[in-house]
Parts: sequence; C-alpha cells; structure tokens
Amino acid sequence: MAIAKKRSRAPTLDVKVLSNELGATVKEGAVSTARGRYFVTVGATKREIPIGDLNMEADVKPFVGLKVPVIVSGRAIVAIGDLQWKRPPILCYIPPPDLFRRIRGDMRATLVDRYVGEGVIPARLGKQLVERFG
Amino acid sequence: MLPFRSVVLELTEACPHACVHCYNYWREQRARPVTPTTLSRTEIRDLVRRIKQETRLEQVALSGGEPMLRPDLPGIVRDLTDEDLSVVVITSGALLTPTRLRRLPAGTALEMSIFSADEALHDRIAGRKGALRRVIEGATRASRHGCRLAVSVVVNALNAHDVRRALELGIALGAEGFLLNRVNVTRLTLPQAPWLVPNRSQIEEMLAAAESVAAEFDAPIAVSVPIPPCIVDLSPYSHLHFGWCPRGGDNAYYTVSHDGKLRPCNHSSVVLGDIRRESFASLVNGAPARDFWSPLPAGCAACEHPLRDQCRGGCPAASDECYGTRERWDPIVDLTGILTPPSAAAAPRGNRDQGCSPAGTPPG
Repeated sequence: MAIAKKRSRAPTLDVKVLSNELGATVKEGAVSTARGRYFVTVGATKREIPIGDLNMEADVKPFVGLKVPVIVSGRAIVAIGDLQWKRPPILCYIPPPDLFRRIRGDMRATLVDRYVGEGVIPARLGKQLVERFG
Repeated sequence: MLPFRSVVLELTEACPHACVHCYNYWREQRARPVTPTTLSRTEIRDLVRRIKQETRLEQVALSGGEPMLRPDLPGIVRDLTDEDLSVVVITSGALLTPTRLRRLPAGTALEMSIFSADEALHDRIAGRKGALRRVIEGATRASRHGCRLAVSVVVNALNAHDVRRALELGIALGAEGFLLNRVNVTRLTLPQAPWLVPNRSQIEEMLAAAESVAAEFDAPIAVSVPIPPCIVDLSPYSHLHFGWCPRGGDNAYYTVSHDGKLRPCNHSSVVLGDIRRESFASLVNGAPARDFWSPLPAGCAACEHPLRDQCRGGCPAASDECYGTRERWDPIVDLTGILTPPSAAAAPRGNRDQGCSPAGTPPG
C-alpha cells in the first residue's frame, strides 16, 4: 500500500490556548527514545508516542532528552512541546491510513482459540491464523 | 490546489448481498457488475489523475456495490498504487476467493463487514445465507496474502448486543483497524426504523463494548458515522476515535458513482455533476456543492454542547435523504426520541415516493 510519506511539522502551537479549549491540564513530560520507538514520561507514567503517517519521526526527534509541556486526554497524547498531535481524520465508512495498528499476536491467538472452540472459526482456519499471528 | 485528500469511487452497483441497513439509494439487486455507463479502468485511471492534479489526494476508497465483482479490480488497484495513492477496497469480504486474491496486489487494504459473531444473525443482516462463513474464509486468505484488514461493524437494533464479539472476531481474523458505524438511515431504510435503529441504551451498549475492546486489546476503533452528543454522552469512551461529518472541509470525501456522477459523499444521492465532462474543482466549488454543506440546522442553534461545532447536527446527507432538507438535524436524533423534533421546513422526501412513516417488519 503506497501512502504519501512527506509530512511537514504542524504549525507552532500555544499549549495554554489548546489546554483551555480542551479543558485539559498541561503537564511536563520527558521525551526519550529506545530501539527506534519514542516515549514521553509524565510523572510515573511512560507512554509510547505513536509514530505513523500522520505524525512523523522527524517531528518528535528534536524533543528527545528535553522536558516539554504535554497534554493528554484519556489515553491519547494531544500535544507534545509546541507540536499538536494529529489525529487520523475519521471518515464515514473509510479507514484512514493511521487507523491501522498491529495487535499483539498472543492476544489474537487467544481469541482464535475461543472462536474455534465456539465453532465460529473452522479449526483448519484457526490453525492457519495462529501460525500467522503466533 | 484543493485540500481534499480522499475520494470514494463506487465501481459497480452490483452486490450479492441485501444488507438490511444498505444506504445506497440506487441499490438494485439485479444490477450487472459492468454496464455500458460504468467507468472503465482507463477512465478511472484518467479521472483519478485529474483529481490528483487538482487536490492533495492521498487515498482512494474503492466501493460499490461489491467492488470484488469487477473483473478488472486488480488492475484498477495497481493503476492507483502506481500513482502513489493509498487504496482501500470496501468489500463485504464474502468474495475473497483464492483466484481473486491472487490477482490483487499484496498489501492492498481491505475493509470488510462483520455484523455479528453469530452466523445466523450476520447472515440475516447481510441478507444472504453463508455470508459470515465466506467472510471468515476470505479474511483468513486475505491475511495470508498480505492484505491489511479493517473490519467495519455496522450496528443496528438487531446486533447492538453483539458488538464485542464482532470486534473480537475481527481481531482474531487479523484486522488492524476497526470502524464502528451505527446505522445511518435513508428514505429506503426509514420505514424499517422501528426495528432497525438502535435506541439510546443500545447505542450506549455498543460504545461500552467497543471501549472495552479498544482498552483491552489496544485496538484502534473509529466511530465513524457521527453520533450527536445530545443522544449519548461520549465522554466516557476515551479509547474510541469519534468522527464527524467534514461538511466540505479538508477531510471531505466526495464520491464518484459508477457512471461518473460526482456526489458530496457516499451517503447522498445529490449529483453535483458529471466528472467525465467537468473538472473536479469546478464541481466542488460550484453552487450546488456549496449549498449542500448548509449552516447549522436551526434546531441546533441553541445547543451549548462543547462538541456542537464538530457535530453540527450529525449527518446532513441523512437529513437530506429522509426529510428533503439539510436544515433539520440528523434523523437519528428523532428516531432515538431524545429531543422533540423541530417543525419540518419541507415535506419528507420519502413521502413523495416510498412513504416516510416508520413501519415494516424485520427480516428473517
């Protein structure tokens, strides 16, 4: 699947204005990286920063090692530093490219077993699915 | 350069299913996959190139009907990926045979429908016996073929109780993205509303089920068809992504019918013009398109909800299809009985042909 890769950084953001709009609190977080993944630690909570077609690595890299303002809503990261996190545009009936996310193989396998057990997934297909995800 | 990034191409009117919630105003079970007026592969390639020159096009959704019925679908997908476009094929999932998949480029994204993990219920909603069995076979094959899978769960009053299991089945089959769409009524489905449209508690039930799946499996779930927040408080569902009608904004997805007619979106029967004869820019900048994205419905003017400017009365196409005006709020608000509907500014469109009074009996 070909997806356009060139992304520019979002316009500079005033986190205070955004937090007021959202009714969310601005916290301070430390951005770190390990094995090609990016994280932000707010208090005792470390969250992975999702990198994808909407939010590029080049946008996050400058924040590594810095303490930056962070806005979190629920589990979602809304803003880091002066960068507003782009959410995938949700289109009726159409999955946006950033909607796709791999789900852990062991969790899939557990569900395959359950639905094979219930007779929803035929056993021969269940075996193929577990081989693929396991 | 127009800002739009997505467009929907309806490749055919033909479909082997007869889903109870089908919104396609032209739905016709006897339609042939290709007719003399159907856009050819070459025409599709050329018109997409033209749209790409006029917009920031990144994604093309190939829909129908059932796009898998087009023998030249693999070639169409290849043409579009050669244009560096992201392609998603919106399919029932029931026709993913080995032969069809072999011809489809690996990595093609497929969006398929699972209405329930209960075979009898899924088949009843799809209007075809054996449908779920074929979806399960097809999804397994597609996953092995290297396709990326998204599962769409269209929720109505019949299956609202089984959303969790439908999503779990999608995860088991390898889906990486999920769309949770409450039924969106049209003048064709409005007569079935009493047994088709979920009530408020059923909408809450489906959202709670999806929320728990999203949290437990870290599954990305988009609630795509808008749910006006006057029906249900959306704030408890922090793991779900809620979508709103882009109303002609940057995220608008204008839709091209199988015969080249451009429409504001896939849900609307309003024809803006023929894209074979006129440029995309002239059609989307024309008065009919501007008029379509109407201002806030009068009944929503006094709304003080923080999401008012996202919601803007829900789906304007549904209002237009059911009431004949976009100045009323989404019919889902009236059908769930939460608010008193404003007096109709125009006669419901359904009264002019098929009757708009909710009636009818469920299938099966």
